[in-house]
Amino acid sequence: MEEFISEISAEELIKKYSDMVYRLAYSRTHNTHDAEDITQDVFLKYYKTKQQFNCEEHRKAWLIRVTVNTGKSLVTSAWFRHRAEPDENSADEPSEQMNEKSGLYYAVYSLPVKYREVVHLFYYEDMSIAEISATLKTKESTVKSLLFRARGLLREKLREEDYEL
Amino acid sequence: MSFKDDYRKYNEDIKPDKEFLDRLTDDINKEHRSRISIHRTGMITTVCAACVCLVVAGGFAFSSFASGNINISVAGEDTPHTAENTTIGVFSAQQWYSEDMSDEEITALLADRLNDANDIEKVFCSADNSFDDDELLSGDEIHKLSEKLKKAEIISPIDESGDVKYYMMVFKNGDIVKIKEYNNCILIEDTGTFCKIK
Repeated sequence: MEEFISEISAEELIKKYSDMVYRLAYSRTHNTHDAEDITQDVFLKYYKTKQQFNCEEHRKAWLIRVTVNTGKSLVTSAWFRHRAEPDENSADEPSEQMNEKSGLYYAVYSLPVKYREVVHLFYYEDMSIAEISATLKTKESTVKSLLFRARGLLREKLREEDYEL
Repeated sequence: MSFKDDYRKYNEDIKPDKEFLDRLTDDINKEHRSRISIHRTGMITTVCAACVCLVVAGGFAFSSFASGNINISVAGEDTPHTAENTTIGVFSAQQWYSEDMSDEEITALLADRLNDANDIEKVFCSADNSFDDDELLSGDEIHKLSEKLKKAEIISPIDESGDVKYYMMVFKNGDIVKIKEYNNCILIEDTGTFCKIK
């Protein structure tokens, strides 16, 4: 079992969690700049918090929770709502590497924001419904229903691609 | 085809830029160093202040002992000094919520604080996001606002439309919280928490 070190350097923390935080932020915004803003905010908040972490899972759950909260405040901030380009149009185009999977990209992106994060935590972070519920401090029944509806929408959008969900 | 496998592959391509990560590491290290330096400066200042106090007190005690007069007073001052609250500009520097609270916990915390007469100082309400003293809510109105928040259900944000009411809550410890109400919903601006009034 990996030994838990409560004090961690910026380099180590970023090396260990930057991909996770950035991907989760990107799943909400689908925009590089906004995902970077959220990632930066989350790590600065980490170094300002007085929260004591008692295990690595606790630290990871805190980072996920704060990423989701920071994403929400960005999307509802006055600056974000009033900037020139609305959210839907400011999303990145899929990169060349992603093009072959662009059906999947557009299907996930077209989901309402509240489904995208749950889909990401379930399918990418491999978290169970109970873990997502504990991390996001939401009822298990809510997570189940979000996931159920998201799967329904994805099935419809990816009908021709014959995905197993 | 497995959605999970393809979704994972698709996400492997999504990575933060190396330059961005280098900048971020620098920013965090700078922030960390400045906090340590503020902490050290604070400690040095405290130790110096304590030394000065000891020397002054010792001086007074010695002069009182030498003159036989034990009353200590400072010329021209009738009232004692009091410590000032630490504020940055007009607003206090503290954050009223914790980063890892859920939307439900944030809404409940705000509702409870509004309902606590020992905590809430005043609540302004206006239609144009500027607040004057003649736009203060009464105790009953504050209680109603607290009840609205208590019973509200968290939903995804919807666009602003129709009449908008802006509220600014001022708490006795200096916390200031702004919310707005529209379409029978409330948005807590600091946290992005959005809820529907039931």
